[in-house]
Amino acid sequence: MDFLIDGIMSITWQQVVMWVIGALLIYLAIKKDYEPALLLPMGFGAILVNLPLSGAINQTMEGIGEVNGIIDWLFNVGIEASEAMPLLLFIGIGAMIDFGPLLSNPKMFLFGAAAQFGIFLTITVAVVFGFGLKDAAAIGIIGAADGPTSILVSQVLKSNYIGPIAVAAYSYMALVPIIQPFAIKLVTTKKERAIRMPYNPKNVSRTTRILFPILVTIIAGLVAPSSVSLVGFLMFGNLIRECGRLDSLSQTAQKELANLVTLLLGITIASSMKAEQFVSPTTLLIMVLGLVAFIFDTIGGVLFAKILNLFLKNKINPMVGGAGISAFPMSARVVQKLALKEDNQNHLLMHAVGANVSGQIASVVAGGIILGLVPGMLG
Amino acid sequence: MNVDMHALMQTLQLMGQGMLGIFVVIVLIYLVVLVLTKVTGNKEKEEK
Repeated sequence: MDFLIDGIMSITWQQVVMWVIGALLIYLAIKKDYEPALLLPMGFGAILVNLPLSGAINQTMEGIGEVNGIIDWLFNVGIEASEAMPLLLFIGIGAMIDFGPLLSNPKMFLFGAAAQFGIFLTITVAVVFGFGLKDAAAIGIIGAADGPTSILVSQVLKSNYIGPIAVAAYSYMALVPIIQPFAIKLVTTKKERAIRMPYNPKNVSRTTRILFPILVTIIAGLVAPSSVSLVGFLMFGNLIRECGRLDSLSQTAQKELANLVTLLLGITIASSMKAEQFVSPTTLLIMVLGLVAFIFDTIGGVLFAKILNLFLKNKINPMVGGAGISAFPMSARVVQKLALKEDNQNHLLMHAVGANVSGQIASVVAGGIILGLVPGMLG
Repeated sequence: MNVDMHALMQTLQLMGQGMLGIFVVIVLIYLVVLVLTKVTGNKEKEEK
């Protein structure tokens, strides 16, 4: 009858910690509505893979040998082999994005670029704390504020910390309404936050909307070839949306494809949340570094706007710079809310949305650039 | 805390090259969008 208690006798305290973490993620998903599509599967997956001798992961069975578990198989095929899951999700995300507010107000492009600063600052801070360059780069990419990019870059770099990186990326994306107001108020005055910006959008032709994803892919691909998969799949989804001939494919990409991949991605990431890898002081440090990345992304975007204001007659509200992080659409809404708080007639939403979608492009370019530069530095 | 100075210098190099690379791509895209908006905007005016 020993076989009945083998599981219970094999429980480790680290596994119990992971059950608590899994339960916490599920609680945050359901009760607080924090990115439920990812946090709930990740939380449940964390419990599945941390039950002793779990059949959901690869095990060595006496008399039989290696037996494959479904979660490890999904990870090997869907992420390790060619980063398929994050890239397929990007098709859906690209199909959801309307670049119109950005195309009609193109100076917002610059804030998407500036708001990637936190990625690189965090890489430096991570190295100061003793991480090697490869792991530091994988941790820094949390600042891309984009789950698929974070997962893809950390996987390609073969980081040992994919689990905490994914948890950090998705958790902080959900916490943008708390993190960003704090960071913005640190570096702006009331007067700056009250700057009004009139909205005079240019007309955007259908031709522009169709050529945009094609040209972005070519430009990004020529400058940062490692970004082609990320940018390409994002823009492929957008092209399906904008071409006007593939409405049912666009709807499928936005709904069924995105939902299906999201459902599997969350539980698959749990493969990297096994207790022996996850429960360590390093995980806590990574969570702190992820927060640093988000804060300094926001500060980078805001300070860039303030620098531009030194040369501009018509001032930019510096909060719009903070909307350049990739957490769409939460960041744009945060900036709108802060603006209305200072001046209830100051509507910055469309400017902020432009910066926000620019951040989506800039973050995947950042991921590609890191993949292009870091391997050469490791040699 | 023992800091690997070589790795630290590499991160500063990465920061410089990385941010420059992002801005180069974004500025190029910005310029292309300006041209596209002008050209396709003019074409639509002529057609009208």
